[in-house]
Amino acid sequence: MTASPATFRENADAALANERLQTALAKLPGGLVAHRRAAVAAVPEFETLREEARAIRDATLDHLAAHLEAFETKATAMGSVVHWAADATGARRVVTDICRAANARRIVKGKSMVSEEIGLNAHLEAQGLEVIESDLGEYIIQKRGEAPSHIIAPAIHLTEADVEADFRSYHMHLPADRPLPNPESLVSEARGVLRETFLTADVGITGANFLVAETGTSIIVTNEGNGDLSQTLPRIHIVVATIDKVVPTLDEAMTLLRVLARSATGQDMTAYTTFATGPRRAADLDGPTECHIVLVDNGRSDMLASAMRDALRCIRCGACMNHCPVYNAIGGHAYGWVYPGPIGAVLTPALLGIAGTSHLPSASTFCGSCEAVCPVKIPLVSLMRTWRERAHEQGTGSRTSRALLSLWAYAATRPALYHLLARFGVAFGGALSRSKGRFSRLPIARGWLRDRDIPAPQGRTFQQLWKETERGVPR
Amino acid sequence: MSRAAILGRIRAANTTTPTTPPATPSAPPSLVSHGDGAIARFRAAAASKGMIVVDVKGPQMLPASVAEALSAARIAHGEIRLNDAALADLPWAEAGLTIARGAATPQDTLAFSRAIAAVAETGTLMLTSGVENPTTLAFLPETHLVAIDRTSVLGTFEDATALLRQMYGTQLPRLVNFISGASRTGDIGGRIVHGAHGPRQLFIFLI
Amino acid sequence: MQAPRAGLFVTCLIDLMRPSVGFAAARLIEEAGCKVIVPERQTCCGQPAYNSGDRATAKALALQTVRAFADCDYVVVPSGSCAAMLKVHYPRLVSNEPSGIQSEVADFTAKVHELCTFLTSIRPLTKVPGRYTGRVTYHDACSGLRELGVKGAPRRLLALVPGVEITEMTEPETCCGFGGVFAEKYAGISNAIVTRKADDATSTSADLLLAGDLGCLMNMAGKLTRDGRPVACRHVAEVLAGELADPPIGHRPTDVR
Repeated sequence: MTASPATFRENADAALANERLQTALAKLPGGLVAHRRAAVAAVPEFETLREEARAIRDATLDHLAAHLEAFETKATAMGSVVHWAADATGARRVVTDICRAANARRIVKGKSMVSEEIGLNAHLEAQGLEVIESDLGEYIIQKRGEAPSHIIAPAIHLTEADVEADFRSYHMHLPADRPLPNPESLVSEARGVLRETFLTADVGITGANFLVAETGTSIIVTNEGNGDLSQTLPRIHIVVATIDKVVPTLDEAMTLLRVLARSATGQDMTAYTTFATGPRRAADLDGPTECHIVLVDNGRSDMLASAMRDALRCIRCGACMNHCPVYNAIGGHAYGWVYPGPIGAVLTPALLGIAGTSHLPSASTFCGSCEAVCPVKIPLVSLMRTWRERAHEQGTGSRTSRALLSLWAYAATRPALYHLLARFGVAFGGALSRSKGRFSRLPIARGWLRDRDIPAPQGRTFQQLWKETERGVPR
Repeated sequence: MSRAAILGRIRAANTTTPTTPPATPSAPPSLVSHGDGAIARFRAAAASKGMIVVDVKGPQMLPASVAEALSAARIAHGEIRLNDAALADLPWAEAGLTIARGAATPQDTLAFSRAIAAVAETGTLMLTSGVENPTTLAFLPETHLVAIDRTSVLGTFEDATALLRQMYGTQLPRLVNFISGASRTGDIGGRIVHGAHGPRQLFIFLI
Repeated sequence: MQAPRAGLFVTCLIDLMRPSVGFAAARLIEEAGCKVIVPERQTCCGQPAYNSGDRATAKALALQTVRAFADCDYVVVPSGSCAAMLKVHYPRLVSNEPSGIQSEVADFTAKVHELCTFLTSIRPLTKVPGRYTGRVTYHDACSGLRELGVKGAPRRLLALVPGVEITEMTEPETCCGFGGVFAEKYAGISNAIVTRKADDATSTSADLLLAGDLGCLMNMAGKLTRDGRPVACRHVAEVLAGELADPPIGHRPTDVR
């Protein structure tokens, strides 16, 4: 996949022209958006829960080092091995070393955004290991060689027809003429194929929605059960999680869980919310013999010290992108990297630098829907604006628009000059368009004019007319 | 050394934050229930998630209830995998059912677990892993059967964590599973389908 | 007793593109018993600079605006986004300035009110001059809605207009895709968003699509006229004040609606 944040414009154009994608995206308002609305309406105290969730996340970040150390101590006491990775390279190396030491050949994965971020799959495959995604959406896109387009519904950009075509071309061991008339049949087929993977994998890798310091526990929140099978059947379990996932206590985890599923899918609880602590116990009949937890920094500690700190509250629910008019128009791949939507617009520049990513915070109307639904009240609009300020300071972006902005700023801060220029401008514009009421063609604003008219100015400025009325001239 | 570097950067970023952590929140009032109210709420919430809740008059009646529930749902009376000693001791043969001890195998179609508690707030079962309750029972077979005592139906998740603390302190078992329905996915065309990787159907026997 | 002095913050779009909205707002403010003042040293609230990352220009415009309205009792703004800029964001722009400037801005923001809020909460009107027979639908422009809570006020005022029938879109609160410079810079995405809004408005069979923000209105009107759709756009103040002599936004002088 060659799309990147730098090619956002081209990515977006391709997305807008992609009819299959547009069909898939049209389902969002009646789907995830409507479900969240219903779930929130069912809990009158939801606003209080949001505030509590925000406070928990902020307090945890304020004492992050202490909580991480407490987590490490407890997790180790419970039999897990805790590893620290400063960056993507370090994280990949840790995971590879664990797999090598265990003579692993086949790895099954539950969904993990951070594993996408650090490029884990490609690295492991390059080392000769077989990696199979078990989350149905991730499985589908893995075969397509695509990245996820949404942080909780990775294949949301595909239609049922897309998936049927894909399954027919991958699952060559099944009869070519078998009927696959509906989602049920496709899911059944995937279940059968992936069952084999769970049973024969040496290593299961999962992410973590939260890491609980009090008990040394990793929490995963899923609906399919693939995460649970991945962390129960193989003999080695590896958890890969960023350092901001830690939560001090079980009770605080419960408050966060209350807002997570409701914000994400509109469920009050997902089918499976699982707390995993250490490897199997002596008397257990199943479970991994080794449990490893890889704590990944990869830019988070830098964010903590920066203006982007509040974005570390994120609990990866996806509500922001579900409610974003831009995401709804172009889908997730257009953002060009792992995290799409408003959180992607804030996180991507923080992790990759603003230079090649400035389109992401720029391509927003600042409507504020994201902030209104974020369960931990991240001020996403303000953070995007801060990135625009950084881009402006660094001179990123079109020279023409910077020049125009400068000219405009010069005039706007000199009211007498501004009003004079305005009078001439609107008189000219008004004369050009008076009979039609609007412009359909101009040498400027060509983007807008491609699909929309520009209404004509009325021909005089308000300031001009007001002065006349004050002098007694009738309108 | 990554650990020291990471912790050092975090501490350097946090030098000006003397905030006191907020008091741990409690369950919002609209989600709280107790006693019989909790049982009624649990039943309704679980049913709304597609789980079939069956009342059983006493442990001895359980096998018959299971046979009846499976027949009503047109599920074949295959061998039931379980490892709970008390459950194993019940009159299964009289109800026309066979059981087998152990963790689940890929060929099993039915499995029986015991939940240590249920949470009425969302119709959720709380199961813990252990020799008598291997986790694979809850995930491998197509049909999952769960027994729970009526007295173990709790109101809120805070009640559930209090129970965990009471039973285990801060040394939790390998897994604590909060199960709120059968396995499902919406990944294909946005439509919800059951039995993605885990069970297609869940039965809850309230004893 | 002297009538309070209400400074009208004209907004650059109304000043340049559609002064009739300014006169409509002035009429309504007079109905509310105030003397309308139009300070000359106002040009723009600064949003274009602020949202482009040019904080310095935004701050300069903020101070210019604050000082222009120094001798007004109220500052009334016929635009949700400009009102939010003045009321919510000006204090943030001067958060690093000396306390004298900060309190100057604080005094200013306390006087700032979006037009419909002013006419329902500050100087409530029980009747309005406008009359309009027809069906209207109202677009809840984002800044006014989410930053200032403007939702019920325009509808309560419209209910005072004899002859008006209010009908709601399926998604009145969804963005129209304007976003200032966004509409030109990412025109394809903006067009996709405004197409949804245009479809929604058309499906209500309303005669008029109203809003309190001229930027949104120009965007929506531009789409509706290009597509030849029957719904026309006006600023809500035009209907409330009966300022209907000029054609709807983007329409020919011959189609008066």
